[in-house]
Amino acid sequence: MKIIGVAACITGVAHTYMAQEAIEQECKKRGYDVKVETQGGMGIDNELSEDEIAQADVVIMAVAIGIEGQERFEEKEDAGRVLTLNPAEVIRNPTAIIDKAINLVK
Amino acid sequence: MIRKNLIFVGQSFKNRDSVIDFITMMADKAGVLNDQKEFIKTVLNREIKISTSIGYGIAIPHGKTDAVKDPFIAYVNLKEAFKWDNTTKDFVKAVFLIGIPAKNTDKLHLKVISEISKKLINDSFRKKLLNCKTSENAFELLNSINQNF
Repeated sequence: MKIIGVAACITGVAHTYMAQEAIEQECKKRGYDVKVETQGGMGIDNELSEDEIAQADVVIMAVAIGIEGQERFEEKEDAGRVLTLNPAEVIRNPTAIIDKAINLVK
Repeated sequence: MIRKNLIFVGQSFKNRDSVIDFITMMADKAGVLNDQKEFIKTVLNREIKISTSIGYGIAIPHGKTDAVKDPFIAYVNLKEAFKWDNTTKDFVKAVFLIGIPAKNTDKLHLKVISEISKKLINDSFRKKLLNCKTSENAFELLNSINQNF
């Protein structure tokens, strides 16, 4: 399973990075491939490449604001492989959110 | 970023606003604020947008505003947990209040805040932190993250 994501919160200092950590931690626990791009106060980090996006099974958008490069995910969106939610939700309950994400693949 | 005089273990507060008031007062004493009132206003406005209780017994109220002179993270460990607000059912035992200037914040400071935030998602780190019995211990633990940069 390859999971990618983008995390971005309102202030861009804490939730963005917590959401990234929550997604990565839960995916690693399950042995999934995972990479989460962050768009926060430090700019864009861990940027996803076109290839990484193309190869992903699921995209988790943990975003509370508009992000840069949203169009990169259009194909995945059309394929019904994008789960969009508030960063706070995935921080609070990563297990349930990752379950929900992989359900998009089934 | 992490300052000994902004870490408080075993404090008693009954609600969100009183703990935010207390930390803001101490932050002002520590000289990291330009404007106490404005800072509180920003922090509470942020709470109204969406609660900063993240689950796990932790809340991370924060404000990015000109009212902040130097970036800081203050930590309060509560003697007894209280219900953070009416939008969640969360009882909070530990509060991190984060202050960031509105402009030109050093990337290094943001990096420290993000690393501490990430650590809070880590079960063993969080347990260690919540089990710190003294402000000194909590400071050492938090500062060990600070020092990795």
